[in-house]
Amino acid sequence: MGSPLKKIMLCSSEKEIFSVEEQVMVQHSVIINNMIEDGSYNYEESKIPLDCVDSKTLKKVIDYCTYHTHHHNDNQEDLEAWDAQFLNVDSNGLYDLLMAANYLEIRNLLDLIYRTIKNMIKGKKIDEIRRILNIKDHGFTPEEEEQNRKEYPHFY
Amino acid sequence: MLFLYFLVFLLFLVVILLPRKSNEILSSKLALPRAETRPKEKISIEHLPEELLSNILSRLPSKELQKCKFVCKSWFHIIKDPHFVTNYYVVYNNHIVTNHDLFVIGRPFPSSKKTFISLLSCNSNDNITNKNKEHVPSKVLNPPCEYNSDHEYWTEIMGPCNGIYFLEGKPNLMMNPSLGQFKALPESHFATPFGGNSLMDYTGFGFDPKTNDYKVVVIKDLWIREKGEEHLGWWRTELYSLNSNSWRKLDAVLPLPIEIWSSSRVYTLVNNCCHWLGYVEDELGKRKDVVLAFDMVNETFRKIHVPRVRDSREESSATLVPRDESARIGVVVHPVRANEKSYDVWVMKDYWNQDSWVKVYSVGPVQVISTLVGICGRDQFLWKNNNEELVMYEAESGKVKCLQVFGKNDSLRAARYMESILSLHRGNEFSRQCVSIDWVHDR
Repeated sequence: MGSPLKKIMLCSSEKEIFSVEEQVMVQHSVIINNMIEDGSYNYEESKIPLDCVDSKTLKKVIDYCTYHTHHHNDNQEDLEAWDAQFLNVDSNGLYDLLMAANYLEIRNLLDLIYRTIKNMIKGKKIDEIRRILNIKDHGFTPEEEEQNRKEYPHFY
Repeated sequence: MLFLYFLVFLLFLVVILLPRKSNEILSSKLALPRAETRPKEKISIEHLPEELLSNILSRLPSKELQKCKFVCKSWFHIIKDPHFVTNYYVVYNNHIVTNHDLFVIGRPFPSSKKTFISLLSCNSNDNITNKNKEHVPSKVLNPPCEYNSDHEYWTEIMGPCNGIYFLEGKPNLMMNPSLGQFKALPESHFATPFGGNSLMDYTGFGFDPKTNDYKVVVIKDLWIREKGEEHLGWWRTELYSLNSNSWRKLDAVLPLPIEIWSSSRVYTLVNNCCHWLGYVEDELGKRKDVVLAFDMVNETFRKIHVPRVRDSREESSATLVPRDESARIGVVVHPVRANEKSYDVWVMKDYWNQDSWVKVYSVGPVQVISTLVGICGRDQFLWKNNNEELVMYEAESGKVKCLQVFGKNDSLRAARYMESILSLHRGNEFSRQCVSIDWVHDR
């Protein structure tokens, strides 16, 4: 565990540098925790390059980790309300966050996103799911799609 | 001159390559997994890595997945993948749902000739309100009309085996309740020779991972009438295979002498073997408990010695149970008569070593218990109380929960309900015989 005052640098795909309390990232990201623990991070020189995370997404990820580090004693309902507000983004923003959480191995954020997407699917008709999740190319041939619609009309 | 050129070339190489090398060292030190997507490209869900999609889909109940197959092709391939099917069963039932639902049948008894088949939501945290909790209310099944007369009935549940249940009765059934698949097994047509008469069928159900087959094994005791008296003539074993959808006689030799009490009430499939509790008589005619095992893969029988877990059959009842996530077999022993009963749990620590039986613990006395009906999860025992009501008893906390499900004349059988997307379909002939059924909300 790093000391709470130390800062680490994260570098987004646009090469923008974010300075974050080390503790915040170490607590949430398995991969950063490992990096700090095995000493491969150099506080004077290193910037952790996150080539596949854009600045907008990285900022959100840092917001999430910071909030949950400082509010982990809050009651469950308040945290859930904050999480819901936090994930009030469009579907592409959600996938970017999912990829970033997966890349950095932030398990509670991953779990939160999985649950959110699950709830976007559950109980909905296929056409609605495609719209909500912004699925433009379902990949079925027109014949297959017609066949499926004919066979399972109640799904659509 | 040439040598000089060569030197210059070398120098050039060093200048060009060195910084690159040190860069590589730095980035390998900060080795993060390489992402497959380009930075600026917008990701859409159909192109998310398969692992992430699987994790999302694994959180959905099986009914939803039937629909999700047709949302897009990448989902279709994931949901059809046998690895996903296996993984889903483990992840969904053990990590996503927090409640233990039960698959319950009320066996027919004289006043009602029909079997009552239901799914029961049985949440151990019912008094805690949690908005996100999945809640499956109680549902009942109306068998398809061709199986809905007084001549069709079911008396025992065996399973779940990867989400498949075997219902013993007339006709024998295999079911995937989550997919609503209902398949009547053909009857075995082996004649009983010399006018012999089979009094009891001892049935076992399980999975053979080697051939990816679901099998039902039936041991029949054939009795012959001689000089006005019935004698046990011989045993015969038959095996049904889902892959072939037919019965065949088994050559496997029973480890005689052995007597079987009855098919076990609590489904005990361990190490691909199904089990029955039985006994052997010693020279003095005293009965000793033994376990008979049938290996679904090798199709062989084995007799397993059981230490002296009870004084006599009249005083104590013994039930064979699976233990430790179906890695071991165990026996639960409790007195037959006393009003408040303590019970002992025995386990055979090493499945392949019959000398490794130990008593793990004793619990009680507990007022409610009468007959052990099933086991749900770790040390949650499903008992029937003296009013023939199902009660859940958590050994660790001592918590008792009455489930408001009542039987009559020992009519209730129950098993843990597990969601599964494993299809019973095997080829064309079979598909025609597989009926789909619907569950109706009870209350």
